[in-house]
Amino acid sequence: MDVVRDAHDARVHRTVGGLPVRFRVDDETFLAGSGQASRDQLHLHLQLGRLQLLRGFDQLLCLEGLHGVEHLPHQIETVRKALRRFRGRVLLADEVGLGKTIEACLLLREYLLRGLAQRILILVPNPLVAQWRDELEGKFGLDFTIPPRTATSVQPAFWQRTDRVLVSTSFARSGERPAAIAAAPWDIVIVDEAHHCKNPRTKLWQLVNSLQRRFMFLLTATPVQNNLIELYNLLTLLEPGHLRTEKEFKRQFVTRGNPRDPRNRQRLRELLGEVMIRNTRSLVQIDLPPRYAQTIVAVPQPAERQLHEGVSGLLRRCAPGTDPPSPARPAPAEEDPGAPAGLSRLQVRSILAALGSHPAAVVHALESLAQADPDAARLQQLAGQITHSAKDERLLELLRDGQDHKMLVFVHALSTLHRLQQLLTQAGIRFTTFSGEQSRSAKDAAVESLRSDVPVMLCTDSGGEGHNLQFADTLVNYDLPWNPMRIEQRIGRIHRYGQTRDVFIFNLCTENSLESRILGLLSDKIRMFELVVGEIGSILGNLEEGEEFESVVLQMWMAARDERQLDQAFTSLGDTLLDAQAQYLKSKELDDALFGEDFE
Amino acid sequence: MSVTVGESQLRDFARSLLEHTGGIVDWPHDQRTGLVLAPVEVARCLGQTDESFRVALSGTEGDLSLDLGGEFLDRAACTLATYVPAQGAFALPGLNVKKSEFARTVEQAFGWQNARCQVCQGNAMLIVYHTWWFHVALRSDDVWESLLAVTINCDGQTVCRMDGLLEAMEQRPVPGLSRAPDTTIRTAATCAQEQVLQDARTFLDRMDNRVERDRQRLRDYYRALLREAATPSRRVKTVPGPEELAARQRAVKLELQRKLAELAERFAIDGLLRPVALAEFHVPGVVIDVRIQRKAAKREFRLYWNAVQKRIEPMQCSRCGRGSYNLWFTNETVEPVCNACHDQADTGGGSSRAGDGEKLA
Repeated sequence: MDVVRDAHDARVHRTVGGLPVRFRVDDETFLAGSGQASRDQLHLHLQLGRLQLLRGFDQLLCLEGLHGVEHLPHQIETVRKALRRFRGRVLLADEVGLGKTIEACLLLREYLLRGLAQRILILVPNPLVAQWRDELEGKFGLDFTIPPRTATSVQPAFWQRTDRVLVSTSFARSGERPAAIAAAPWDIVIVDEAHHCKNPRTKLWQLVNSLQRRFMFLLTATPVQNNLIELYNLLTLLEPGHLRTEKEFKRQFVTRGNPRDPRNRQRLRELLGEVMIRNTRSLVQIDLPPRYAQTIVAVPQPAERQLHEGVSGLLRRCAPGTDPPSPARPAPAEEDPGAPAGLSRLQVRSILAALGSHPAAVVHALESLAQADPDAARLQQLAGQITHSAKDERLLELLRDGQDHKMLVFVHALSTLHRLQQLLTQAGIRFTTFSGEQSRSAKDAAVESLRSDVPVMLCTDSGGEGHNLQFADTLVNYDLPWNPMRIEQRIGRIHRYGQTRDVFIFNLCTENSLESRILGLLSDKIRMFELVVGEIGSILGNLEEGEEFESVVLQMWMAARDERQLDQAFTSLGDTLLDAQAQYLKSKELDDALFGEDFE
Repeated sequence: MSVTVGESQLRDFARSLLEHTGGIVDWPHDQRTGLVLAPVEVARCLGQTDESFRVALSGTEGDLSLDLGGEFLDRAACTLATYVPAQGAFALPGLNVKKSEFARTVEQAFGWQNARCQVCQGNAMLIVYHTWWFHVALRSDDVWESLLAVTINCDGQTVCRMDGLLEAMEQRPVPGLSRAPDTTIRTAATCAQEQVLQDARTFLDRMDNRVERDRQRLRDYYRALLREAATPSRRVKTVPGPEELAARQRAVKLELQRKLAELAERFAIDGLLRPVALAEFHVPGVVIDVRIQRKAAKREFRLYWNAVQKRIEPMQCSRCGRGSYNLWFTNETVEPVCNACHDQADTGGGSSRAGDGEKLA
């Protein structure tokens, strides 16, 4: 027999190549069992054993039992390749919008289901933490712990005992944390927007390099930002020695005097093909039709304007104080016990979001505050008296004009949804509703109704996830999430694989509201609605140091004493976003030139 | 509606599981969904809130979705463990066993290398066997799984190749196990491990090849780094001193060690054996008492005529636990030792089982 017992430990066998084989017998539960089994009952146990074996062979387990995850053929192929050919150490470098996150999550699920992994660490830029958490929880049913911003997260014990951690790169690499994280063993490490690991002198590269891990997935659409050495550094993290030493790499593959220009291109592509997967739109033949966006600014009625001013004033009086905003500066914890008048940041954000949605949502949001504060009570009363908002009127116009189109109307708050139901009923517009409150069968019925019967579907943010809604071609953002990734998710419900017609997006906002400023930033400054699907994620990913986008917005609102200061803050944020976009475009150009459209 | 092989197995299993746990299943063969009425506690174990629920094949709307990747198999395993016993005893009647002259048979079967054997008598009686089924998984950079059966003679502790006893038509259940499971599980697990190492050879070779390739790559890389660390750069005017060079080389070596250790950890093979079911079989056979004489010492042993295999079973080596027909015996306690263990002791390799220090002839 080739496998022999270890000379020092009889319980350990060794393969010919010297790998230790340790056996454990998990018999505790079995030996505790009792009862007298019949032959059929024993067969039943064996049948289960055989079914469990079926998991192990050619089919991917990660696809089964998944609800609401639309996986495309190139993603499945990527998972297969990463499992078999790359053995779980891979650079996923798909072009933006082709679903790198989904691929990584599918791979992750596959490893978990096969019992090959238990301890997972996911490192992502701060602005993308929420997006990852939503994907992991909502689509894959995987709960991850986000480390608290307290001393706990500096202690090695926290990282040792927490099996699934989702953490922002800036948080992970600061202070004493790198040592604590590196001291814990990980089965899988995922690094999103991995191009930030381009320099071995940076803390992030050193952190990732020091991690004890079995499998690693690096995700980036732009592996080369400035020069080829960055790619070398990235791949050295993944498979040290694959591209030899830096000196040899430069000698073989980098044109002297121009570090952006590769030599021996074919050989380099072959080597890259052993550790990197890059799907491109032309390769996977995904070409979406264009999308057109229009912002509709509603001029508020006097009562509505009074409500906006009143609530803003109330919040400025009650909100916790703050320093001038900066995308690069970490924000304080969401719950701030030191806030005057007892209003936390979370409450401020929730009331501001309601204000941007509908007066009906404000009534609901002010409920608890109104019990303690007479001003809040007065404003709540005022909000209750506004039956028709300016946006309501514009929405009705839109719906009447677009009767030939299937439309999704997205709202953030349930109170707004209920109010719009009344509005549309009164206006005689036929519609259906899709919200998180409904059962699965009710949701199915709503989608079917939109497909075959009614022209409008009112949705909350969960709207239509997991359903094919490509038969609709128009989307109305009745209110606007502050996070561009969530806006992108809404649009993605209809502007996706399988859509054949042009897509129209209408963004409603009230004049001079916070939402109108956000829209100005996203729509006018970086022209988000004209970007290719997924590009906004890459741009935000370039704000590696930054906070989550909604936190930045809130921070700016709280720091500004008046409208002028708020305008200045938005201008500054716009410039930061423009820089990030320019950086992305530059890298994209370089990557396109380097890898071409047919890299496999 | 088409149903794949995997789906049909899943459906048959789910139906049996529910019926064995007191449920009623209404699931026509041509449908992808069915209705179930199950005892409330079983329904709960399967993750259902109501005792009546819809069961469906993967990709079809239902309360309990049958698929290989979801929670179904885990929940089913839990339900089975809770409500369906996994240990049973059976008797196999009707085997033709004659009490006859066994002295010649024993002589032909065994090679007594350093002892004399006297066959005393043979008695027809029921011999008790335990058949263990194990789910085995080897986890490394990849995973290998199997379901295998091992049958142990409960008294002789030898391993017998007797597959298919559970399928024997004439077996009848008998109440309770006459030998406790823990009397045979260690021997069975040891035997299963050896079988796994044989069966999984291709997998183990693959892991060996992979780790070797990766080791080589790392060594080449760090060797090249060492060379570079020792060579002064043309760009930098100042030549590093010997101390700095030594420090650089130390750092590279340490990093290589760390990476190699990480690789070893990643590829180390973790084997897990989980008993799935146990069947005790009472099989008619003949027990033959023999007396072994080694120098002045004597000791009595029992040999077993296996009526299913129609041969005498081997004796268990006191050191490695394997069955053997070629036996050596220790001087004083007359412990049987197989050829391999005897050779190992002879060449100074020591015993493969700890705690047995007596010298062999």
